[in-house]
Amino acid sequence: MGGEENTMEFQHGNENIMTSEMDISSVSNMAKSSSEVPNHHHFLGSSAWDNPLISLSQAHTFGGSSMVSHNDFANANSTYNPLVLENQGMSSTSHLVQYSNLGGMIHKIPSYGSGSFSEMVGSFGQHGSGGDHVANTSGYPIPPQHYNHIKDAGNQRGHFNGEQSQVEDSVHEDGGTGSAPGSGNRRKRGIDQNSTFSPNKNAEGDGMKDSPRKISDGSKEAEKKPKVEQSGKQTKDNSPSGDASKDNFIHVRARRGQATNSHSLAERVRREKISERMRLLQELVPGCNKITGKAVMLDEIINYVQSLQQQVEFLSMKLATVNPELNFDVERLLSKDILQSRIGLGIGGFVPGMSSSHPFPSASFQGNMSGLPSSSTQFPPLPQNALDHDFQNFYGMGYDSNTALDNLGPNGRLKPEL
Amino acid sequence: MEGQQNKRKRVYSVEPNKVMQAKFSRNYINYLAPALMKIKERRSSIEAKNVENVVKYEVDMAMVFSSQGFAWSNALKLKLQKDGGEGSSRINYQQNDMGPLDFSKKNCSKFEASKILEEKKLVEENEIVDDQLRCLRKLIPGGEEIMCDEQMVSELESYVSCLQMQRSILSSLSYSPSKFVVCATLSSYWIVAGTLYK
Repeated sequence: MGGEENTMEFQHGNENIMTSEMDISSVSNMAKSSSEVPNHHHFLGSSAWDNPLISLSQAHTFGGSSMVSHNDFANANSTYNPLVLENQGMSSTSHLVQYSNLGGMIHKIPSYGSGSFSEMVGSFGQHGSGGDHVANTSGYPIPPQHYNHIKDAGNQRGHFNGEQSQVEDSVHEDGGTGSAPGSGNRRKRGIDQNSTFSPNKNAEGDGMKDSPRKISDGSKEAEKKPKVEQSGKQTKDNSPSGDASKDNFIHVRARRGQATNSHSLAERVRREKISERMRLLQELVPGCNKITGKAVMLDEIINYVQSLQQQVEFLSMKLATVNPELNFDVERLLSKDILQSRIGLGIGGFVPGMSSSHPFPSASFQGNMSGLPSSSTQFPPLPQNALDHDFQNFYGMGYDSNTALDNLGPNGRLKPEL
Repeated sequence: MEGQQNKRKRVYSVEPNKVMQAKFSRNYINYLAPALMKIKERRSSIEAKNVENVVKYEVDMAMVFSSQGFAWSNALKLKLQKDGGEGSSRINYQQNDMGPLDFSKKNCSKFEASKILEEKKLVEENEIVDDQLRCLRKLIPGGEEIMCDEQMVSELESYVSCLQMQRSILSSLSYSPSKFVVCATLSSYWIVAGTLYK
């Protein structure tokens, strides 16, 4: 398919977006085709997007399949959908379907404990190998009033586009941790990719904030609620300050009646990001749904984490006492005649290197146990057929057979060493 | 287009959380069960006090192996390797001494007072939040090394959910170990996982 066709599809697709809700499969068509579109035709860099705010509202219609489409971005379940601003970190935190880059692939929705996702079929996220993220993102969606220089970020996006054209068949990994890319651990990885952001992030963040603790005296944050953006409307804005002239920085507009000191602006941006993250935490921690207020919720979270840790410690002590009665059928657990599983073994790159029939070579247990199991603990090969079948209950579609774990395939099957 | 789509079929789950949980629990149990058996066999050669530490070590190591890829996981691993089998790898508990969150009032003219009060509230709240974030940092393994708060909060998400899973596994191990004895086949893993988690 020629590039022109793709372009035309795009243009056509633009109109579709503007008028109606598209369902995910058709968007995925566009997404797939977009990966071959040259940069300047790309959705995001396209000059067809006159008003980035429109694009954001359209992005919301995407997410409308199970969400009420809002005009009020603040009411979004968690975060904004930066259709225009790609935030790869978003893919791990957003509750809505993300269209941060339609060139990306349909992606499993990574989310922790957020039950609302179980019915969402997939989400778009950006995918490149770790590290090739758009530099202006801090792994975080930027509220609509921060939109000023989307086109400036287009150069970064161009860089990104080059990366996303790699289409990977396997379940795609976002994180740049360097671990096995084929792992299905995307949800967790998605979180971790923020670590790859930090070099970029700090570069920008340093320009913006000096001492994060200082709050200027002149700040009158009368309204702290996020701004409601109607398409075409800009934030109420007294002063143009805060719009740094440099391109790679996050551009923040001062809200009405608020200080425009760079300290407080940076501070405010930071706090907003933290609030966004905390919404996800809210779902994890039981009983936090009704709490509104950062401090109270953080309090709850701290208590919860402490109690969890205490419980784990208590349980481990209990386990120590119960230990004599435990009787795992270890042989069956780590049965060696079971075919390797295609999934999950690659978590963290744990290739079953050891193949002894006993879990730990007895040589490692001499006297005291301080030389406890070395890091080469193997993970057992698991019955493939049963695993497939069971996994298929979880997975909506069948397996793609080109997971990175296939290199653990039949050739790598462990033979017991006796 | 359809043909291309088939080639580029993505695997995604309708229940991603369950898959994650199941994987975690399977990895966790796979690490812990043999370790516990070994501990049991060698129990006589270890002093009583040490057994607990050893078990604790194993528990933490299982956690590390089940949750690769997180900053806190790596930090925990490093801590465990440094401390070895002795010493508690537990994070010290601190009292969260945030007082009740009430804000003092001031005697000013009403209009100014409200503005100043709001300002003060926000400043105080921000300070409280900062303190809390610092507390959280200490709770998470490796939290001190995480540079920015936002990253720390995202690490917190994974940490909390892994802690929850770990607690479930340990509680079922401790309180109804027979369940694990019976469930040796893989499909049973799912059953166990399913009963453990909502």
